Amino acid sequence: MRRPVRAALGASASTLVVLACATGLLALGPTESPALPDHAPTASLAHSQRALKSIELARSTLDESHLATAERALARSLALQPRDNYTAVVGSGMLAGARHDFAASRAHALKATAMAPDRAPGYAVLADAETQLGHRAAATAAVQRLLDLAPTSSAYARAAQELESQGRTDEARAALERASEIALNPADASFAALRLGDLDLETGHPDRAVRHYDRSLAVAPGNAYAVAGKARAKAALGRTQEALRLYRKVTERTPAPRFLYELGSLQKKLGQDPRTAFAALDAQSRLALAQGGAVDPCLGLYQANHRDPHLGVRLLRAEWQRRQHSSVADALSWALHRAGRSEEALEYARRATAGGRRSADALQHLGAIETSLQLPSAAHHLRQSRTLNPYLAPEESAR
Amino acid sequence: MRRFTPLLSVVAAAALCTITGPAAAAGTGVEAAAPAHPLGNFTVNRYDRLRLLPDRIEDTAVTDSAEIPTAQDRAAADTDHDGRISPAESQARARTRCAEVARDVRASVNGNPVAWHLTRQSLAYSPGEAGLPVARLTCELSAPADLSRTGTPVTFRTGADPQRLGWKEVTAEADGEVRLTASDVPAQSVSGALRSYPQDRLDNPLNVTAAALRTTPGTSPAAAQQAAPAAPATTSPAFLGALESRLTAWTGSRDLTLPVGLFAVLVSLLLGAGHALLPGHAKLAVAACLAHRKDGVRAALAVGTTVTVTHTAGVLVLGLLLTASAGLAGERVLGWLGAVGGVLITVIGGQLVLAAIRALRGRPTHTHGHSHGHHHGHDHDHTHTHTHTHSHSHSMSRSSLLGIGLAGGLVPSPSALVVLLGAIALGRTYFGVLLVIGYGLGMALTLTAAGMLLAGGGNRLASASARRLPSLRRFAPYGSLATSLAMLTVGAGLTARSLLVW
Repeated sequence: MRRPVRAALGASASTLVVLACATGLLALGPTESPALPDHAPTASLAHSQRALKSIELARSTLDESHLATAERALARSLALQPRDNYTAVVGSGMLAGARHDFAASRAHALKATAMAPDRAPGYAVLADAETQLGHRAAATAAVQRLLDLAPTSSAYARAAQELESQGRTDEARAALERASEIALNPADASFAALRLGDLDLETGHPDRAVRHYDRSLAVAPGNAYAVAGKARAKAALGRTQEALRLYRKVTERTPAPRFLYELGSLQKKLGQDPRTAFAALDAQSRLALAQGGAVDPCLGLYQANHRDPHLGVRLLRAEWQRRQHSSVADALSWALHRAGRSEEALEYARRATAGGRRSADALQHLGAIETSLQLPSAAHHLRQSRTLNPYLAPEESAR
Repeated sequence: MRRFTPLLSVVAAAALCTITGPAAAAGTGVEAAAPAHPLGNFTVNRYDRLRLLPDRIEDTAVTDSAEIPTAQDRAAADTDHDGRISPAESQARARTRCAEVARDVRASVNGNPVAWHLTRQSLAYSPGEAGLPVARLTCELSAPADLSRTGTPVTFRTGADPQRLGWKEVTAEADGEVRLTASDVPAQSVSGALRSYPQDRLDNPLNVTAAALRTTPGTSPAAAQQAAPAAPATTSPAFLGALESRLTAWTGSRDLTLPVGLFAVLVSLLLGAGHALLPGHAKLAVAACLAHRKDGVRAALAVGTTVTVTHTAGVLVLGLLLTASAGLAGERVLGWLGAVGGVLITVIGGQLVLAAIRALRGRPTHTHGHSHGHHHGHDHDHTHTHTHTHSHSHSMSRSSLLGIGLAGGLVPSPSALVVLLGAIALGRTYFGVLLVIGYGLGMALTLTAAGMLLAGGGNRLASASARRLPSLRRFAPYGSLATSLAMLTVGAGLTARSLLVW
């Protein structure tokens, strides 16, 4: 007698649970299908995410063909969901940034942060764009907001860059160590280690830099920036054969201007034949002139030091129009100096070291330019550069 | 903005963070604007076309270099430094580079490496972006090999650096007296031998640098051409996966008609049935029914019903939680539920073990009662055994069955959850709930059927053995000890697995 009653009770209780859940879901979930094609949100999100993946691929492989794919995917995403498509707006900002159109990148980032003021990705894009555009205060604010919202590894890495640009090297190192500790994926871990290596290399600790680069390579084998950084550190330590081997390896796989420039410069210094690297740099210059796209500052430095300083000035001026980053200011100042326009060069060299930024390269350039102008501060800046990085070889000044 | 499925937006945020990480990479960035080479100015693309003949293997290795690598290579090719590549210079460069290709290409027949030699080479330039040349190097290699025996395994490696940017493709075809019986590469190039890269693959270039083949003598060139890449065998998981994606597609399809909807529910039933067949659930039902041989049908029904209810409720509750709070990570919750289910089974298993041990301790009495009953004939004996078994499992009969069902249904199947969340995101919550219920019903059907089959068989076996081999009865308590120990192990295993997954 009691059994059927209990069974019925149990059955009705479980049915009630299921019904309650279903009701709750129906109450919480959206009640009607959107006016757009029904599959729009997920499909548009999938397209945006594909775009983000492609941009990441372009960044890690330095293969710009992925950017065209990213653009197509973003267009599809925005066609499916033209409004309130946060991920696509963030993706557009990242795409513009990858193409060195930092003004557009900033505009997208501002739109994204207005759409969702408490979501982190928009601030990451904004921070990068403001940094590249030389908007110091805005960059600092964006990084701070990013850190407040999501104190992730990449946020700390950005904070480190911000600190470094203000000359606060020790704090930058601490931030990068934190970024390295809390990295949740190989990409973040390898990037933090890479930046620690760069920092140590620039501040005269090539031995420590090698260890950081090795750590970076352990997580992301073959990362071109880490291999090149290690090569530069080895060269500073006098291990030139190893440096050449590493440079050859990286330029064979990823013939980016910076790696080619460093390899060719080292070969020239050692009295070896730099033609292979320089031929590739010449080809890059022709492409840059024909396409009118972004210019790697190292391409301008190559022209300034080894080919045609006037072409270097032309290329870097175009890049300066796009972004007022200190690295462009530094390269442009050096190209101007090598082209015999040291007066003009001084202005850019000062901008490259403004805001407390302590870069041995930029200080050395500033000092050399000041020397040619017979300014009394030259000796001070050259000494600063040497103190900062005793391993930095002086560059050939203008004749 | 519209609400996305929380799982997806969590993933999106994570992806953004990793992408934006290397943004500031040392001031240098990615080059811009439309590149002439469809795969980018940096790429070196490689295509190896293998031809298998009775007495040799031929490899046509094509290297297509974009503008920048071509410039790098021209500096080396221009031996007289006049800025131009003469036919003699390009021939010399082709020989050097093809010698390197021949050195790096590896192949083995029957496990024995073959020796490659160069038969022809050419290096041709054509105009690319900004008046810069691009280069196409063709190396024709040949290696003697005996492919006249049946089932000869052939392996091949191009030796191309997989980290080098670019397209990497291998094809294999057999000619004349040889037939390909197995091949993991296609017979035809999808890029027209690096002359027309398929548009939809540009963002995900092929990266094939090896091939594994098997040849057999035979004169069927048509069949040889058809040696398509080895398709994965149509196993049931693959079939279920296809069904699953079909179901997800239906959920999102623009016009959800009644037939499509009904069919989707049917498919969800099938999927649920398939899900129950996966390791874990079936084991549970078997363990449960073995432990309760006495009342197989009812036990099986009870387990099936409980699993259905808990599974449906579990998926719905999780869906509710995830919809209500975007911050909750779905995988985490699944892990927790897995652990809880495992612990539950372990506890029940432990109780059963204790009960079995207690039953063993009291064995003499039971044996006595048993033999006594035997004198009275079958019917009586049967009733007696019934009560006997009942007495030692009475304390947990209902609750433990319920617990097992609960544990089995506690971990919602991820695919059911995906279907539900997808439906919610599309504003079709009711449909999602319907599908989840269908899912649970399908699971229950399988589990009950499996349980009944086993329990029924067990009962018949038990009564048959009781009739014919009375002495077997003596081992019955050991049997329940073994099954309860097995359940304990399963429970511990499940707990450990869900804890280790984190």
